[in-house]
Amino acid sequence: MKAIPQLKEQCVIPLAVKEELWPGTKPEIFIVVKVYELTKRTLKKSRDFEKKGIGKGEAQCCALALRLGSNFIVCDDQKFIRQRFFIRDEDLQKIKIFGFAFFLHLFHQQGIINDVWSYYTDIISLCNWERSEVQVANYTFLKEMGY
Amino acid sequence: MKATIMIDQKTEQELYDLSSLEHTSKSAIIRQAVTEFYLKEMRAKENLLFFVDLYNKGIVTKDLLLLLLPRQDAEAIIIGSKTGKEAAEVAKRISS
Repeated sequence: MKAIPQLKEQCVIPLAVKEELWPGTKPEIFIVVKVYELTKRTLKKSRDFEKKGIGKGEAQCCALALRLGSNFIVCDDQKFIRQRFFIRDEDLQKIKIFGFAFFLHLFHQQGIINDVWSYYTDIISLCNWERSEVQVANYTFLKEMGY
Repeated sequence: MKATIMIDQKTEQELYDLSSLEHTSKSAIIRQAVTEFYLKEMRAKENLLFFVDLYNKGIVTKDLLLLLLPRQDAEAIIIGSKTGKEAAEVAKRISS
């Protein structure tokens, strides 16, 4: 979180994610992270995702990613990773899920950190993500990126 | 160690059938089942990322993963590696 302000890239979050983060997150983060309020068709799309059982935060992220044309989100929610794998929905399949390893990759590219693997191991252990889809997805991502 | 176990009717029938097919005692079958389960757990606990590498390189298939590891770990590898590979493809496209 501390390194996010040093990134050249702009992070965008929907309002639902801000509401989830707000109580426990330092307010400074919202200076560098742009908060986007979903309206009209984007909001409807997000509600369609919610009807399929997807959490509000993840649903809004997906709808926003489609709206912005980025077609990817950063999410380490095991339940959502499994839902996206099993739910046959054309729009949902368009969305690719990046994990925290994407940030490690950006930090490494921009010279903010040197060794991605030590951070990877610490995060997996601290968040109790051992033997989960989250661990495998982030590990595979880093390996595929040549780390 | 002596143990008293409670099993339902279906499991009892399966144990009986296995005992006849394998010409082994019911307790030997239970011991073997525990060993198999233990080995699967240990493989996953100690070598999960090794299996991820094997799967990503195409050396191990989905079926083999499901045979060698507990179901939850095999699923984590299958789902997680697809997710990670898709993300890496997009990240490479963004970078280039």
